[in-house]
Amino acid sequence: MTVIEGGKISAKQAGVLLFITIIPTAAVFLPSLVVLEARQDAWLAMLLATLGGLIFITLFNQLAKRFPQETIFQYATKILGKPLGKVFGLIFIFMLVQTNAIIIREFGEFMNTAVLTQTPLIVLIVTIVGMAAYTVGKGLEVIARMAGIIMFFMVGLALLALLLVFNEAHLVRLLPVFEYGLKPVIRGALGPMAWFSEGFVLTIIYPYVANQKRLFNSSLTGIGSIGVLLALGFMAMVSVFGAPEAGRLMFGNFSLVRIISVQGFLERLETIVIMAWVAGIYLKISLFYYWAVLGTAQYFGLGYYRPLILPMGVILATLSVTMFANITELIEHLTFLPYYFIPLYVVLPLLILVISLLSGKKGADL
Amino acid sequence: MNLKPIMGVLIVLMLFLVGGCWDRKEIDDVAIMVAIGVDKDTGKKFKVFTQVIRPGKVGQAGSEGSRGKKESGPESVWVAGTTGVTLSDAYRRLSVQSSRFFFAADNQVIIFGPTLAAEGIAPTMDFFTREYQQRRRVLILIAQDEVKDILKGNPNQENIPALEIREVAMRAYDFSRVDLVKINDLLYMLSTEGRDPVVPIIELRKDQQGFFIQSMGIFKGDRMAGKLTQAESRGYLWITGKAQRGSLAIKTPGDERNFVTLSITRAKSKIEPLIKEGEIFINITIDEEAELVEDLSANKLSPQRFKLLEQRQALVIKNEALAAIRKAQKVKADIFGFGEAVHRSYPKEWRKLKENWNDIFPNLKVNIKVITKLRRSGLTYDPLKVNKY
Repeated sequence: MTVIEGGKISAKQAGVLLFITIIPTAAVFLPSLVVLEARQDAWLAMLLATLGGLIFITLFNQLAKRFPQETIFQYATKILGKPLGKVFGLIFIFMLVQTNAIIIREFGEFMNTAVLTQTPLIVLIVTIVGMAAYTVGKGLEVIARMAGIIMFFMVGLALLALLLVFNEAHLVRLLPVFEYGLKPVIRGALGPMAWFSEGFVLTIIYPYVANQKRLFNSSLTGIGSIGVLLALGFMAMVSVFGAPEAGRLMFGNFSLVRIISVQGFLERLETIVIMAWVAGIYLKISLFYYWAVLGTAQYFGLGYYRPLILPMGVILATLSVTMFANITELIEHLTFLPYYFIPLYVVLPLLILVISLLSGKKGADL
Repeated sequence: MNLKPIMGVLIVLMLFLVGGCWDRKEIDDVAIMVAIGVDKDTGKKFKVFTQVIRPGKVGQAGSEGSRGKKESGPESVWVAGTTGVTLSDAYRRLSVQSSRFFFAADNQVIIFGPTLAAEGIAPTMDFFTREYQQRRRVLILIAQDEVKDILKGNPNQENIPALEIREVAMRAYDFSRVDLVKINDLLYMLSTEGRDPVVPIIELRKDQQGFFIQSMGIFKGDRMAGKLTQAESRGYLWITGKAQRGSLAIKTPGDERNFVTLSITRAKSKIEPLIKEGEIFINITIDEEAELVEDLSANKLSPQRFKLLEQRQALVIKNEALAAIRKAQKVKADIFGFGEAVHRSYPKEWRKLKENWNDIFPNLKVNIKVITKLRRSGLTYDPLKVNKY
C-alpha cells in the first residue's frame, strides 16, 4: 500500500486541529441559532451540546482505535464489504466537500456583510480557496504547526475580548434560568451538536498521530475548550445585549467585540479580532480541503493526493458560490444542519463501529 | 538562487491583501459624520440631518486660543438635511449632495426629534443596527424642539458641536442629572419584557448658554409619553442605582431658612419584588453616601446633627424617587424595570402577569427604604460665625 501522507503529528497538535476544525464558523454563525431557541440559557445549551460533542469524540476514538493505521475511507470497505463500504466512503467525501463549501460561503458572507462590503463575493472565495490549495499542498505537518500558532492568537484574543467586554455586561440578564423548562435548551443545543459532529475528522487524523494513546485526552480537551469558550461568549452576549436583542443579531460575537471600549480610547478591536478569525477560518477551510482530497485519493487507491488539489478547489469554489442565492438561504440551511450532519457524520460511523464490534474485524496495530 | 519559495510566499500574501482593495477609503474622500438627527415631517416621511466635519476649518478654530468674535461652531461643521421615505433613503439623498462619501463610524450622537418620539422611534432602530458602519455605543438624545436647531447650535468650548453635546451629556450623567442611553441600552429597554425606555432630552437654551441635558423623556413602548423633570430624573437614577455624584441642597433641620449642600459620593440600589398571597410588592433599597460641602446655617457640627442631616437627606431622596415612580405610573410606563425584576424572580407568575402588566404597574405597591451615610465635612468643621457686636 502506498503511503499518501507521510507526515506525523503529535496528539497535542491533533487536539489543536480539532479545535480549529470546529471553532471558526461556530463562533460567528452559531450564536443567533442558539439564542433564538434557548434565549438567556444559551450558555447552558452550549454546555449541553459540548457534552454531546465529548460523546461523539469518544465514539470516533473507539472506532479509529480499531484500525490505528488506516483512515475511515480505507477500513470502511474492510468492515462493511466492498460495495457498502464504497457507498459510505462516497458519502463521507461528499459530506466533507459540501461542508467545506458551506464554510467557504460562510466566510464570504460574513466578510461581505461586516467587513469588506464592496468586494465581490467570488473574489473573497477564490482568494481563500487559492490560499487553502497552496496550504493543502504543503501537507499535514505544516497545517498542524500553523494551527498551533493561529490557535494561540485566536484563543488569546477571544479571552482578551471576553475580559474587556465585562465592563458592559449585566450578569443579572442571564436570569431566569430554565424559564421555559429544559426543552428550549435541548433545541438550542442541536445547532452546536451539528458543529461538534465535525469531530468526525478524528477518524481521518488518527493514523497520522504519533502518540495515539494520548490522542483521546487531547481531543477531549480540544472539544471541551470550544464548549467553554463559546459558552462564555453566550454569557457575555446575553448579559450585554439581553436575550431578545442577542437573538436578533446576525453575528453575535462580532457585535460583542465591536462594543468593547476601554475608557474611550481602546475601541474598534474588531479589526484585530477579525484578522485572527480570518486566519482561523482559512485554516478550517484548508483542513476540510485537505481531508476531502486525502479521502478521495484513498478512496480511489491513488498514490498521491496533490493532482486532486486543483480540481477539488474548482469544485469547492463553484459549489460555495452556487449553493446559496443569498444569505437567508445560507442561514436557513444552517438551521437545517443538525438533521443531516449528525446522522451522516455520527450515526454512520456508529454503525460502522457496531458492525466492526460484532464481526470482530480489527486492523493491525502500529 | 532558488526564488520559488519566496515567490510562493509573496503570492499567498498578495492573495491575502488585494481582496480588500474594493473597500479602500481614502481619508480625503470621506466626510466624517459626527451627529445624526432624525425626525418625522407632517407627512409620513423621515427627516434626516447630519452634522459633518469640515476638515479645513476644525484645526484653525482650535489654534486661535481666545476665539473672540469668531464663532467656531457652525464654521467647523456642515449641517445638511433632507427627507425620505426611509432613513437610508434620506441618508442617500444627503450623500448625493455631498462632495465626499459619508462615513458614519465616528458618529457621536443620534438626536431624535419630538414628532418622531411621539410617533415611535422603533422603526429607526433598524437602520442604526443593520447598517454596518453604525456602532452600538452611540449616544441617543431626544430634542426638546427642532433637531436642526440643536445640530446648528454653537458649542461653548469644543470645536465640534457633536463632541460638546456628547461631553455635556456625560457630565450630566456624572452629576446624576440624566442617564446615558446608548443605542445598545435603548434596544435593551425596547426589547425586554417589563421594561420601558427613558432617553435624555436635549434643549438649546435661548439665553445662549449652550446645550442643556437635564431631563429625560419617558417612553411607553417606543413612543414618548411623558417627561421626567430634573428631580424626577434623579429619582429614576436613585431607583436604578445609576446615581453617581452631584449635590443635594437640603434644608437644615431646625433651621429651615438656610440650606446645607451635600455631595453624593456613591449610591447603589436594589429592586426586590415580592409576591405574597397574590399581591405584588416592590421593595427598593437605596444605599447612599455623601459628604458635607457647604453649610449656610450657623449650627455646630456634631454626630447628632450629622444624624439629622442623614435623615433629612434620606427623606429628600425618597421623595425624588417617589416623584419619579408617580410620574411613570401616571403614563403607565415601567421605566424602572419592575416587571423585569418580577420576571427574574417569579418567571412562572410573570407569564400570567405580563398580559396585564399595563394595568398592574400603575397600582403597584412600592416600598422605598433609603439608607444614607454622611461621612466627611470638608476642610472646616463648624460653619463661620460672624462676630457681631
